[in-house]
Amino acid sequence: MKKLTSLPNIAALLSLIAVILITVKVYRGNFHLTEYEDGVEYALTYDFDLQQGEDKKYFVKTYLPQNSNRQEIKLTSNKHETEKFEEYVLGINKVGEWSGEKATKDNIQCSFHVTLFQKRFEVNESLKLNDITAKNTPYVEPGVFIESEDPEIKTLAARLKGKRTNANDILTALFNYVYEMPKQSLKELMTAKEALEINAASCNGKSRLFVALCRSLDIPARVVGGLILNEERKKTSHLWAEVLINGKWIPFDALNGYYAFIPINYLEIYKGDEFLVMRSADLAFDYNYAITKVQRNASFFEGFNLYYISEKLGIGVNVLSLLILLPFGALIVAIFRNVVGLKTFGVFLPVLMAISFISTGVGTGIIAFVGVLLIISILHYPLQKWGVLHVPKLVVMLSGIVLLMIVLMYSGLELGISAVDGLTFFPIVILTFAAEKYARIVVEEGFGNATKVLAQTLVVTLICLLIISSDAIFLITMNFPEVLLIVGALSLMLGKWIGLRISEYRRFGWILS
Amino acid sequence: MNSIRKIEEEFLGLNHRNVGYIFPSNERKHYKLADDKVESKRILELNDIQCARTYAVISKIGNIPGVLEKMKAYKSLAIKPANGSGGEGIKILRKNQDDEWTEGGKVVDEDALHLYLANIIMGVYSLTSTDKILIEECINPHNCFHDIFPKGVADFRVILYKEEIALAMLRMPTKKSDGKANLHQGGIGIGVDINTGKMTMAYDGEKYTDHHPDTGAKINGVQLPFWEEILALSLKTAKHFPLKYLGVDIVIDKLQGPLVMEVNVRPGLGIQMVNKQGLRPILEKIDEKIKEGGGVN
Repeated sequence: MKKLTSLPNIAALLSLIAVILITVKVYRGNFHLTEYEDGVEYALTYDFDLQQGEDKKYFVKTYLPQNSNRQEIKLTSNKHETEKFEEYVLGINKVGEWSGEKATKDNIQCSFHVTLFQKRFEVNESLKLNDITAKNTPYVEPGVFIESEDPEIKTLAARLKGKRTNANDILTALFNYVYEMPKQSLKELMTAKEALEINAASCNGKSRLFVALCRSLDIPARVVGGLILNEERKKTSHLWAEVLINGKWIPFDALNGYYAFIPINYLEIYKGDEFLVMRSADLAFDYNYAITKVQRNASFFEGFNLYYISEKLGIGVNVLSLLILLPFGALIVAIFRNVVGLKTFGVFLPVLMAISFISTGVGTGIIAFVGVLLIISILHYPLQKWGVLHVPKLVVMLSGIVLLMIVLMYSGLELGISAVDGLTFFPIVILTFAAEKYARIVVEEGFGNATKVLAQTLVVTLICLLIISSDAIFLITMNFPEVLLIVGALSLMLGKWIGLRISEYRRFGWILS
Repeated sequence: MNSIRKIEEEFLGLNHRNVGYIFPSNERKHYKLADDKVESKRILELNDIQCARTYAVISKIGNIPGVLEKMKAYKSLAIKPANGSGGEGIKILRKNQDDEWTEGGKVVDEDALHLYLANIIMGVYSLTSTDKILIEECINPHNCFHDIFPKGVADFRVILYKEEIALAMLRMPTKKSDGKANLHQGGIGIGVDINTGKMTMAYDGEKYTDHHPDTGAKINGVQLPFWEEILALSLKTAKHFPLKYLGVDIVIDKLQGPLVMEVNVRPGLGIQMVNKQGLRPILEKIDEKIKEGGGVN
């Protein structure tokens, strides 16, 4: 009876194609379902410039980051003209050494792909000092820059310890003392004693002092060197401390106030009181660490998926994911309009607003939206009174909003408020359009109706946001773009669905009751 | 459970209206015959269907001054955006003793009038990018409804499907609606028994009454004037428009009797509430009747 090309058949066909494509992909192999842990990924490059005018032996040595339970390192490239590169283990650290004998002018670019995970460390609160002290370990011996046998340091440690016996309390007292010591941004090497004498220190002085205080109480401790990864080029490395508690090294950063914790973007490069880079004398040398954030590749397959496309075309994963989430969001809006019977400002506006809220964060997004609404309403009144033509009126409103944004960004910059950073071009334009629609409905149907539609739009927007920002939907769409066929099929079915909307049951049902 | 089934069987929802009736009955290219008042007027006039006389159509901002000059020959004007919806942007102008245009008793500033007209053309009141202005004769409402409510203009909405009358209602202004008869602007809807032409009840969006909320005038059982003419006019309109599911809006002029004011390609579903009657069985019966070869009556 039914034609082959009838709508339900086509919809079924589309779904079938999607299912077949997905099944083929799953069965064809190349399937490497990785454990998807909430990590962050960076590309880190050691960028070394070296120059030497005459033929003479030279070297550049640096520590290379190693794998651990909180960091995964992959050496991605190592470009250099220097004759020799060696990687070797030195104690518990790994060293990379470039060396040669001829006059040279080289730029070494050694790059790593770094994945960092957040780990939790716990200090058992019932431990006594005796439980964590140790003898006969180098970690309680003084070091060249860690003068733990110094009388002043010993006195200070004893004073801070006082009558306390609880290990956690003692560590807290030591930590707080160092943390509360004034900060100093001097980059030069500072020993524990110097830090104590000057009573101000940067990361290296504070870390050494904290370690020295621990060691003078026979608590095994060491300094750790690494980089704080942010998207930037920099020379500054970072030093923090670790204390051995119950057989585990627990991190402490007395400069930034992290007690038994380090943020996810701390990359550990070496342990012990060492120098990150060493080089032969007479070598003209400059260095930089270039760090960029990498969107995590969570593709399950080789071949047809959006991660692959993103990688090959150099389009950001975020851009592609928004692209594919757009029809998803639109389908959700369509369901809310045609099945539930909610009214929204257009079909795409709630999706676009949801996407804007992803980039601004919901809180900032809603505040920004209310702000935009207020400005639009304030501007609307005189513009309406003067009878300004419609299109120029829109331009005036948009100008007002953008101007305000710039003022906000500037004052945010001056006052050090970072919340306005996310309010870039895209969200603002979208929010302005939404606000203009609102103002328009206020004029046409009154404040009450407009606000009702606004509330419904916001509800749909938030639900959209919830769905399109979920990790599951993100991974599915990125790995199986084929699901768009199912979105298409569902939309086709929805397009022919003639049932009453939920709101209409109420509307008509009322008459019967 | 039963009541849910009853709602589903009786009432036409927006989805069903669109998919089941508007899309199959009305070709997309014909929508503009209803959406664009200038186009509707052309068809109405071409087929001698009674409607308000067209004085002028302006489609260029440059023509506004010239047309306004010519309009001075008339005593009153109804100015409408061709593509406006829901009575939006409509202005009624009347001349006072000093030959000035007034609106609601106040003299209209000439610059403001120009701006208003230019705004119509710029598409402020329509969803299209530009629009046309329709200037037509101003209706003088018949006093037949003065006993019920003396101000404003009452109008009829008749829904026709395949040239058969499905449902009808009378919309009447109230104090709250400020002379307007639209339901969402505070007007009331009055159900009509299409067989007898008698009013059934009034509906104000919240409850049903048998009298006008302001004047208390009795409504139920009152015979509508010009009912036969209204039916005939609706049927004639449906016949000459290629839209097979449509709403026809009719007002009664003091001198000319019933006139078609507007044709609507997406007539609202509130008429079911006003009549306490669902459209589904009615539309299905019309389909059945046509299938059986009953044809058009």
